[in-house]
Amino acid sequence: MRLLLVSDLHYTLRQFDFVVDIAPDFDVVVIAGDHLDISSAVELDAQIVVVGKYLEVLRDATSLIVSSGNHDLTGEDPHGERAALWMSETRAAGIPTDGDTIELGDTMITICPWWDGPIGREAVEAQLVRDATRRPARWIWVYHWPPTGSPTSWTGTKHYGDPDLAGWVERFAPDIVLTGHVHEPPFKPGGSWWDRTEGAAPSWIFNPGRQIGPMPTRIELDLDAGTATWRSLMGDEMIELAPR
Amino acid sequence: MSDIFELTASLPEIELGPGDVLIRDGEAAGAIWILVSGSLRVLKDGIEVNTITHPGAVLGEMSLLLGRTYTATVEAVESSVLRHAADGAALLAGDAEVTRLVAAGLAERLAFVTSYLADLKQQYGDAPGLAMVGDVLRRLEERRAPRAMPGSMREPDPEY
Repeated sequence: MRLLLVSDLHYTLRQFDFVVDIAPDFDVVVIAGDHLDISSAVELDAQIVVVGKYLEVLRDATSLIVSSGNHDLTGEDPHGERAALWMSETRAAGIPTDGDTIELGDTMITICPWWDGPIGREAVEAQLVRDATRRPARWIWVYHWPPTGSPTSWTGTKHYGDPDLAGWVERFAPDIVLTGHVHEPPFKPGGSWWDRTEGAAPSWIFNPGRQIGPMPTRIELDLDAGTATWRSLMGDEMIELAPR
Repeated sequence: MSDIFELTASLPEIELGPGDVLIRDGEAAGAIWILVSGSLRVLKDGIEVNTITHPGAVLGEMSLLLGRTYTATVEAVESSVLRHAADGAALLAGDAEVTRLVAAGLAERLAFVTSYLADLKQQYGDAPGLAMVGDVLRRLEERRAPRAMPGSMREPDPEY
């Protein structure tokens, strides 16, 4: 299985175009949140329509998976917590998204939303607890914010990670976690686009970061060959995914 | 059918000199102005994006109707005269014909934008982002959804 991870496209249309162009080369494309940009001059409602159209084009080209990020929140859910309400339109278009879990061969992919309050956090935890009971050979999470204490959340001056995710990774030990949110880690000393946790059942953490220009930073996972490749304006880097 | 000058004849008039600022980006909206004579420039982030010279042009109505602060700065290029309704909402509420003319002006500008974008698709339709312009425009025209409001309680001032 060849999987492409991009994140934080932030309504950069040329980067969406680029993903559309290369999507047919992959079995799965994951966009891990922040599709919209709250500082854009384009109205958020208009961004939702445009991005929704891009997602439909990508859906027709390959297996597409999207999760929400903090820029994608558009209103309050029934519990009064902020949520990416437009993701329901994405799901209605047949695209797996927040709260969904899909199985592709021997791989299960759990798609976590950006949670924004205690009830949303409980829902994510319940989702992970549920999926942990039926994990197949390979368990992948999509979660916008990389864990704290990881080089994938190192900004160059501080750790800017999610402590809840760090706790869940330690507790459930997924095989792979696909993130985004923090833009600098791959470009900063001490930071990285990948991390491998310690312990008997280590987890791989990936964050492609973000760059300006028409091509997004991206990570290509070849799960059959056991490699991960990060591509950016700085060039390409590849690592071997050592088995557990 | 009345024209905007006839309908707003009772409004007070103000005079601007060259460089005088009428509307400032980010300030609270509420008023409506009608250009009687002269020339105005519209600035966004210090860059001129438009000029307004057409007598009868209405200003301030979009921010008023959307309930938002002004999104651009407007200043006089030369000596200019405008009619001024300090309470723009009252002006619209009090005269249906004025409201119709304002709505017609907004619809006209929307039609300008739509036709331009549709032509872009015709001329440059091979790029994915441009190929979808027509479909996006149709969806925007038909979209009826609760207004999207950004912001996260967990990341109220996000660095990313």
